[in-house]
Amino acid sequence: MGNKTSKITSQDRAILDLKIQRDKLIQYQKKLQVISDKETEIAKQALRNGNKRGALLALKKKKYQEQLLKKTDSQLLNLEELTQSIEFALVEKDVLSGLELGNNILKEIHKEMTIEKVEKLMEDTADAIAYQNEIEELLSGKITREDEDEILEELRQIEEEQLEFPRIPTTPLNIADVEIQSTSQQKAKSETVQKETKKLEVTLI
Amino acid sequence: MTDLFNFPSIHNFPPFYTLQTQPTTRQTQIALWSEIILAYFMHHKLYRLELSESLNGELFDNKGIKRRLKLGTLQCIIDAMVKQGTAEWDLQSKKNVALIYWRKPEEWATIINNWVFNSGMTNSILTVYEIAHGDITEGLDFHGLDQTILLKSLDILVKRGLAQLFQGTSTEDMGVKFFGTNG
Amino acid sequence: MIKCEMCEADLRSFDVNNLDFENDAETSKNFKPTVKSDFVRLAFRDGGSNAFYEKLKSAMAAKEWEKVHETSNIKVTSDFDPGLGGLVGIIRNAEQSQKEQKETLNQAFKDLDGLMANTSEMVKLAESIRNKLSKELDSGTSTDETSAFRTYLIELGIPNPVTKDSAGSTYHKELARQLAEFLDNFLEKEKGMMSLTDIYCLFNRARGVALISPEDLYKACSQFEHLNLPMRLRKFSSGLMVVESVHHSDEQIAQRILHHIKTKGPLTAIELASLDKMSVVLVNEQLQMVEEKGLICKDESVEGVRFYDNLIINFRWERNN
Repeated sequence: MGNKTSKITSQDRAILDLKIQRDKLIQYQKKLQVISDKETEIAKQALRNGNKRGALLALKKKKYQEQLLKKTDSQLLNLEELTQSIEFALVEKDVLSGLELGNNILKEIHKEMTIEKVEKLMEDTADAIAYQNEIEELLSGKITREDEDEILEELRQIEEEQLEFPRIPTTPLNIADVEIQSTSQQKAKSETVQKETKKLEVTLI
Repeated sequence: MTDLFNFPSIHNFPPFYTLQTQPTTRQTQIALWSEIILAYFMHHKLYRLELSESLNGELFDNKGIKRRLKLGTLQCIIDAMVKQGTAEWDLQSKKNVALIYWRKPEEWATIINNWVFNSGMTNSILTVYEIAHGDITEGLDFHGLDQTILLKSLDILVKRGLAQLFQGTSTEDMGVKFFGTNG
Repeated sequence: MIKCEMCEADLRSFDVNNLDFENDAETSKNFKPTVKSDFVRLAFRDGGSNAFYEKLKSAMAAKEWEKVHETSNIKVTSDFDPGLGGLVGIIRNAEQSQKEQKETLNQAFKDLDGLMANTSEMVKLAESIRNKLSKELDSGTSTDETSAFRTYLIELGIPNPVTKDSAGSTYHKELARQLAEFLDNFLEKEKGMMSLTDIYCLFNRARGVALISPEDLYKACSQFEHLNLPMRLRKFSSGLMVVESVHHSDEQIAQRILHHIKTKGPLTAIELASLDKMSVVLVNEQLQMVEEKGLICKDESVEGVRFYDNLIINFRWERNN
């Protein structure tokens, strides 16, 4: 019994005491009930035997038991309330200590994470981004106008491929633009366009 | 509890009440009696067998065929059950009282522990009395469990580290605190 | 006639109480106690002297005159002649009754001698019948009668009793052979097994003469297997000894008993014994054997022990609850 007493607090014992009392009250009530029922029986029996006085006596006893029962009922209620309040209070206490603990941890984290640190971090990050942009510009300067046109063209083609709805073919427009160019180029272009329309149709199906 | 127990047909067979000498027959006979005893006790939610008295009851005294078991035979049967782990002698009774384990204390321990966990009773205090007789356990398997078996089961939970038995400040009555798996 | 033809003496009719003559013997009146004469002459005209002599001898030996008066002697002993009466008289009395008993016994055994003479004649007769029977059997006449005759013969006696004289050192072997023949008939009737005590009684009764001792019976039976005879001596764990036919197996016995129990319901040893017309001792052994095989089980109650078909051993409880 003595080796794990660290886990059993005096509060636990207090609660146990209350509960044991409650148990005893319940047992007492059961006993009273039994006696009460018996008295009813005795009363009935007495009446059958024509013993009115005996019946009355039994009924009086029964009345008395019932009063006792009522009293114990209210006592039980008190006990129950008390027990539950204590239990609740314990729970609250636990919650509170939990909160406390959580709070402390948060504080610890905050200690590590100061405003200055964050600001510095953000600055460094912005610097890094700016630097990156510079590099990009330098790199992008090497690209000629021709390449840029090609790239744009490719982009447009891909965009059309990815279109879900059948658009009103912009081919006339394209053909109009292409009229300036040579017929061979025109043909090739119309072919590719046709191919793409077919592809579109296929995807539509 | 009042509905009748269905005995197997062998219960009406006269030789079943004579301890057989042929080894295999005897073995089977004892095994069958063990089965019947366990089933009967489970059906009526009984835990404690008082041998001499029980010889007058419907289990061992078949008035229909006018045969009943002898005390010696019954003791033989219970001895075999003890070897199987389905019974235990009350040592003080000199082989007149035995506990019948149609559920072993280990099983009861697990059942009680599961109930405690599922009904959120972890970390709360319960009296030993209310576990077996309280309103909250009304209708549960272990309601009405014999005190000796209950204490054995609780001891097992204590050994498993899942509970702690302790006394109140004033009385001898015991209480239990259940910890749950994380202690 | 009035005068004696030989000596011309006068003849008178004479009545003596204690002397008993069978023949017509003439006496002279000289025999009267009043006449003083030292002798009496008896003439046997038509013979019968031998018988008379015998009678006279026994009468003299019997000493009737002394005997008759002995009862009065005893009364008077105290008064006169102590040398003759009293103790001497009593001793003589005892000797007398002893002699008479001896006589009676001799008479009795004389009758038995007569019977013995008859028996040996009967045995010869039985033998001759047997020979005739075996001849008839070869020629193929009615077998029912012959088997009946054989039964009678066997029940009457063995034609050639084997005695220690006739067989000598091979006595037990010969006895065994004779036993085997004798038992062949019975073993079938008795369902293949007979207790040694029963055999002892039956065999000796059948023999009539030259009875065998229990030891001889036991020794003979022990020879059965050695001599390749179709039966064997068997000892049960309880100590009971039986002779059983080799054709009979325990399995047969078990099946027979099981069949009885299944058709007639659970049985006690006594009921089974009367069913099979066997001795209870034997039946008990057989029941134990069948029980050991696990075919039957027993029920003990105030009414006794009853055997049932073994329903326990294969019972499985089908639970549907």
